[in-house]
Amino acid sequence: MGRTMTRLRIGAGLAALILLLFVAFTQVVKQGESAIMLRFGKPARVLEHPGLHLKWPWPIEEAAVIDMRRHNFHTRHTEMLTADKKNIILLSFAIWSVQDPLLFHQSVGSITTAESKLDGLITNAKIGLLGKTQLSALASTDSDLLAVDTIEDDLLEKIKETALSEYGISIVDVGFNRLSLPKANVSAVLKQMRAERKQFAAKHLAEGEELASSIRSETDLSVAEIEADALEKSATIKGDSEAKAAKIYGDAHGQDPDLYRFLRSLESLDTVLGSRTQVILRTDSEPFELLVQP
Amino acid sequence: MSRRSPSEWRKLALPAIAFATAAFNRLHWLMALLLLAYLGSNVRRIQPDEVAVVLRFGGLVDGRAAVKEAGLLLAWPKPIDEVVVLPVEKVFEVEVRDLYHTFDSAPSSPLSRNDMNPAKTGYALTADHNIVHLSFTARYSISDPIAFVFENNASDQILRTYVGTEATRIAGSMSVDEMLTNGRADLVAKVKTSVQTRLDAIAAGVELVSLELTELGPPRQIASDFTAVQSAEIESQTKQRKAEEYRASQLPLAKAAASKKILTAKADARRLLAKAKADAEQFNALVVEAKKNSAALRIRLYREALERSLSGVGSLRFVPPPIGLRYDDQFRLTLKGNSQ
Repeated sequence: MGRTMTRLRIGAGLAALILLLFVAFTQVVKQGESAIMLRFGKPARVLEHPGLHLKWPWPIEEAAVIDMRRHNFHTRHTEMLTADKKNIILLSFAIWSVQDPLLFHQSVGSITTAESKLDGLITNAKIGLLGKTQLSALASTDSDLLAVDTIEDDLLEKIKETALSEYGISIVDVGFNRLSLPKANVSAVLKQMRAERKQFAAKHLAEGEELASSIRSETDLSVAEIEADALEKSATIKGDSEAKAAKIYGDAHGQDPDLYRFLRSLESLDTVLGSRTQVILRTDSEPFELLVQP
Repeated sequence: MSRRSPSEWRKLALPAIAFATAAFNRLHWLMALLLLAYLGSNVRRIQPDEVAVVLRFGGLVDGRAAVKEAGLLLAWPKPIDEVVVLPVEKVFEVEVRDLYHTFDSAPSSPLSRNDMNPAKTGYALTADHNIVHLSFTARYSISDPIAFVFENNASDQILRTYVGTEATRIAGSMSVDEMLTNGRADLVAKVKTSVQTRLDAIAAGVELVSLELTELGPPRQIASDFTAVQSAEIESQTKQRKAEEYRASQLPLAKAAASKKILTAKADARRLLAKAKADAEQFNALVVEAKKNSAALRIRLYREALERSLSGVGSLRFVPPPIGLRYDDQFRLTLKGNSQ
């Protein structure tokens, strides 16, 4: 029992010693990181590959760990002039990562400092580029004038060499995430927008009135045309029928015009004599002579 | 203070050593259990909507094969292996309010008529240099766990930046009226496509599942002016609709009246012709009769007409014939009734 306990004690002691040696003599580099091994504070080597690496224990060697992943950085608000003398605020971003860990460590040291350096670099390049660019390249109804892609490419081209050679930083992507106007110019834009809306409101009302009036007038015209057409057709029908009737009467009456005149006179008699007519006849007129001479 | 000799120190430490030895002797089974628990600390079950990435001494085990699907995962305990579990089927949500009035949006905040601080108030400039506020909700999932965790620091923030960037760019190509009316769907579709292209280009390990435009509108300072335009548009459309209603009611009425007029004319013509034919037939019959005995026919017709006419007159009076050729000067006839 006593011997087993002694072995266990020795085993525990060995394990503690191995753990101590492991911590002291190894450096773990995690995926997405690099480590710069500093020997008495001076960079001795760069551990770029993730995994387990041997090192001298502290204080001989210590590691400065560098995050090699891509970072997202936004520039500060800075006013700048375009080629057509428009004052704008163009906020930018950069997606960047550390390409040269040793240079990054020596020239920059930390992510905060790196972003400060990038801010200056991007802002300077951007001011230079926008000085040669019209505002219409960023915002325009004419798609031929828009050139955001070109400006972004030019900006990337302009800063990537410097970022790599001076800071060990690789710029993966740059762009413009906000386009604003200075506070003083916003007032004018709002006034202009307000005036435009009033103009649009008046235009809508006028167009509506015009269209409605046009529809009513066209309707009235169509109604008049329909009525005229109907009148014309009915007149034609009436005229045709009267002509045919006249021919029928003419053909018939032509056989005995004298009889026709006689019948027409009788018809006139019927028409002329009415309920208000007073007729005075001589007693000897036919056939009333019978009244006095049977 | 006198210095203690080593033997004195040993005497002092004896109770502590005795306690540790006793504890070790009695709790060795507990320590064995703790050792087992430590050895099994990275044995875990990966859920169906998760994947696990296994790192051995910080590096990926077998490169891309380090990504383990759902099931039982056997890995060494720390510091040998490290297991990162990612919910790859889960859809995450990011609010993008960089182009919205984020900071001074409290209803009680004083609103200057023509004031807007670009450092505090987000907006986009449209192609016709108007101002609009936008906000989005982006939903994404992890498409590449290794890229998401080990190649990018905060991919969700990169996604957020890209949504703002592409919204700014697309807004710069659309007029304010297009954006606020029928261009909304187009705006969202273009932003979504462009954002995914950019994410893929830098291998962000993120898939943009959906993009929703949660807010889109003019600056609050001139919102009432935009409302006035909408009201004018509605009023204009109402006038048009009323005019169209007038057309819809008047044209059928006119057509019906025209049709009636033509049909009436046709009916009248038909009647006229029928009467003419009937009259002609009747006249022809009289002609035939007249050829046989004209005088008798005429007398009969004359008498019939006289009876018909005189039976309907107001008054019928008879006077004796004059003596000689004319009436005497004293002859007077008084007519009753209206002097007219």
